[in-house]
Amino acid sequence: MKGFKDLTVKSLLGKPVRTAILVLLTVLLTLTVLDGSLTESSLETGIDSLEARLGADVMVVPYSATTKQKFENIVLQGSTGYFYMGKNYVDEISRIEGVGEMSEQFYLASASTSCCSIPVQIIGYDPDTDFTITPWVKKSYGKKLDTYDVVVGNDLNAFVGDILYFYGVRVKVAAKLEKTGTSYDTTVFTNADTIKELIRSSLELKMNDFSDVDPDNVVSCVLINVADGYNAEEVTNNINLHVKKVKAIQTKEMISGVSDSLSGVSSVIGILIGAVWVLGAVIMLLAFTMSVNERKKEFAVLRVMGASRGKLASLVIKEALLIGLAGSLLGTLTGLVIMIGFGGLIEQLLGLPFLLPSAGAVIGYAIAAVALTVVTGADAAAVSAFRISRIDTGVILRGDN
Amino acid sequence: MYMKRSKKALVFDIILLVLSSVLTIGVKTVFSACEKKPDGMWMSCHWAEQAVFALGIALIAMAVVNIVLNKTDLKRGIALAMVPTALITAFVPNVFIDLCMMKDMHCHEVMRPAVIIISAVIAVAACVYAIIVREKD
Amino acid sequence: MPLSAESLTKNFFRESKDSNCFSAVEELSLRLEEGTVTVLTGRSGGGKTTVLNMMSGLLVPTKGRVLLDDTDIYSLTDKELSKLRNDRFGVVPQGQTAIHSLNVIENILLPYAIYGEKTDDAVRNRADDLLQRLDIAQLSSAKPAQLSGGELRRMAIARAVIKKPNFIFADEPTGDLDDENTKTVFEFFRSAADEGAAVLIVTHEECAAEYADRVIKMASGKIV
Repeated sequence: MKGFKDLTVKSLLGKPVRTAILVLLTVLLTLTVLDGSLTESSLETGIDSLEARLGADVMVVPYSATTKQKFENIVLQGSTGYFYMGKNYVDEISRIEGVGEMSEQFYLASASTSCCSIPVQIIGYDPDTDFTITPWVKKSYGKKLDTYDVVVGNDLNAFVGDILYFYGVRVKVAAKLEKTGTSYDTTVFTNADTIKELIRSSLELKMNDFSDVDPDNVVSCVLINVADGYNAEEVTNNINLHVKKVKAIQTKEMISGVSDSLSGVSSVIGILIGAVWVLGAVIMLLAFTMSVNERKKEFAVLRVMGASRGKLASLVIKEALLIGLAGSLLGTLTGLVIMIGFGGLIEQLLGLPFLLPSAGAVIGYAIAAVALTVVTGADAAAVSAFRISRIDTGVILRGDN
Repeated sequence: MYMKRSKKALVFDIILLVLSSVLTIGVKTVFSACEKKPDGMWMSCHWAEQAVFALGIALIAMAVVNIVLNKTDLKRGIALAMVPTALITAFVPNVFIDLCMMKDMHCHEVMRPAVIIISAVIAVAACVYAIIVREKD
Repeated sequence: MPLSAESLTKNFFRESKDSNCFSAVEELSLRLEEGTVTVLTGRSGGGKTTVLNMMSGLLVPTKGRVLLDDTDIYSLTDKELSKLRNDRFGVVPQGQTAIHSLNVIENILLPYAIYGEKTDDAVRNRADDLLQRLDIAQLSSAKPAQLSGGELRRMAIARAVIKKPNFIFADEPTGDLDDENTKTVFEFFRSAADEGAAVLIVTHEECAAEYADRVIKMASGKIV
């Protein structure tokens, strides 16, 4: 026995059930705080990422694509689909006042891939005019995309150099993109030439939903940045007013729906964290008070043997710190395993863009969660520690006669 | 000679049996791979599920043998053999056997992390077992 | 160096018809000399334990001083007084006073553990010797819950004297003991005094007088 440290450990081990319950409680507290705040921050990172990926002020799609919510589902929910409008609309749109940068995109969904029957969304972009996808692709692939090269989203189980077949056309994976936490993670990107080949091939195989499409004369969607001095709402209204059979959508409005549900989820998480924290603090306060009351006489005996008030207080605090540390480290480990292992599942359950913050930030959250738990435990114990340091030794020792 | 069964060893035997059973039963139920394609064909992840199932049966067998056995050295040997078996199991999904195309599918989101986590815990527990369970206990 | 109490008074608050103030000890002076055994007897409620607690630094007197080396021990800070108790005082309190999470030998060595002092072979040998003399050697690694009242009492005695204190205070140390063990314990305190300690024993046992240098009788908070 080397000193008080041993006494702390031994008194904890002497009451294994109480200690186990307290450790479990601190595990739960840390877990809730860590995973709650990580989920919240992942949702925020996710929506920032979605905003960055949409990257345009206005999107114009064929009117038919909006009636069935097709377009929004592709962008926000990760469902697959495609639709086309004649190239003549692009010229019409370009003449609308306030339209600045403009780039076309081409959509297609694969019927079957090398391994699974789940269709994959394929988006073709024009590298010469594109301003949304190129900056993102550049982060993982410095060169220009060749024909029959594709870049794949981070959640696709394909790797650089893999060969994929879409409608019988052989394409090579040139790069894998960084994770965005959005539906773009399961999308395949190609340049305009490649996707036109794929559309042509799908038409030849009679596997395309449309039969009367000329790949060289259609686009799926036009992305627009408004020119200086104009606002997106104005331009959107202008397009909808002057160009028939298309629908212009402000990206800000598309995201606002996502933002609304995000703030809902955030407040639920906030309430949950608060409730668990209060509950944990109260239970710990009671547990330490009870444990100290139970051992009042033992503390009096320590005092008789020459333990100062400070020593007694530190004994109680040390017990709390030990429990807090053990529980919060275990809780952090479990919390990280859950978040990293099942992040994808959480993303699917919430149906919102979800992107874990950087490793540094995750470590920061973990440290904060541990600190919060340990401090809560120590504070709960401090009340008992103060009381025990004030005990009247003489009175307690006379108590049982 | 009758030797008093070590309590510590028994606790570990039971933990390992429970974990192996959870892995084996779970991979066929709660965290199974993706379902059959509409055309009735299995996707590749199904074969990963089968492999995990087979390895899980092996782990259960070893855990059962350890519960029955009463020789500490032998028990430790079997626990040591469980370590690589569990590690191989952890690497089955997507390393030894490819899973599905998209990571938002069931086999990636549920089966893979569950198999990795449970296998890792089995490996660690078996390792600890081999180290701390001694004759004198 | 003696420990002397100078006109100690202790008043307690107690609801009563006449006055809420109850005087447990009144203007009591007592001197504990090295190498002597002082026995304090008297009827229950006579203030014996209060005197013992005040002299052993556990209870602040309402009036009066407890002098050691010309210093009033109650003028010390809590930290200093605690260290003093640990180093120079050994107290056997009333009742059961074991730390339940520690075994017998750990309980006995606890006074060393409180300030993180090392317990070398000499200390361990002394502990073994004490266990032997108090006839609880076979219980060294038992937990307090497995011990009888008398065994716990002897453990508390060993714990009080493990650091060879200058002053030993024992409050009813033979309360749970049979005649034979009572004798052992009193002999034990006698020899501690012979080795140089000042011993103060509060007891009802008549036979304590045989081992004492001085027997003081108390009634209603005063020496009679």
